[in-house]
Amino acid sequence: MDLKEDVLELESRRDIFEHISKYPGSYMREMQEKLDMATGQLEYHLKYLEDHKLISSQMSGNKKRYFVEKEVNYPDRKLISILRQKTLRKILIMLIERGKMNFSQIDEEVDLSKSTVSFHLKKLENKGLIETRRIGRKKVYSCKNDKEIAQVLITYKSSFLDKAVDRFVETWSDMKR
Amino acid sequence: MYTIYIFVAICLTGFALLQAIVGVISYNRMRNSKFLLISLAFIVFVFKGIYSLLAISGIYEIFPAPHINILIWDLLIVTLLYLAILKE
Repeated sequence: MDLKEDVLELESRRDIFEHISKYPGSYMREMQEKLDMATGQLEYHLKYLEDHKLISSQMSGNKKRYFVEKEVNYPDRKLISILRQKTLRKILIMLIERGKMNFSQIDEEVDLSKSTVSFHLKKLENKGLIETRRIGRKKVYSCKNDKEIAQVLITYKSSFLDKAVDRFVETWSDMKR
Repeated sequence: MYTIYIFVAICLTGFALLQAIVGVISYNRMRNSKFLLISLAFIVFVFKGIYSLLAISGIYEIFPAPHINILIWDLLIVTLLYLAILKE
């Protein structure tokens, strides 16, 4: 599965999660229609969300209704401030989905200058979200707490301000290129 | 003509203020001094806008040589943007 599909998968889960938190007690057919998703795909994502304790289900008559788990751990401030930034979010998603990546692989996917990519990686490392290891001559990056970050990514909603800041950073960060 | 000047000065101040706010938030999140310099440039823009508004609306006399003052604001903005470009 390539990265685009992986990210789409994450987005589908986020859509489902958001739908259930907006309409508690939603059931399969209703979600299928509203979210325009195939049954198998929807079942797979619902199972993932249930297994990761983000949602729970309850039988009501012949319908299985879904609810957001009361004890969903909404992200701590440190993590959410990182995930608010598009590039950092993108790097973390790549590392979660691919496991390990070296600098040039990350650089290829993130369309920014090498110094900016290096700056972002250093930031993630300093915040304790990724770790580095030397394999031969190459430095390999991996995510430290991928399960927690994946859960946060599902429950995360970007605001208008986040988008404005992302665009500001993108516009000005590569002025020298 | 007077109304147009006022309108342009208000737009300049408003947009510069918006950019300055987003810039400060970006700096706060990224901790990259480049964004601080860009935010400062926009803050100078805000002051320039306020200064222009005051100058247009008649409080002109309290400022000596307003055209030269505006040139100084511009020099400050360009210097800050130049310093931002030099930053990695």
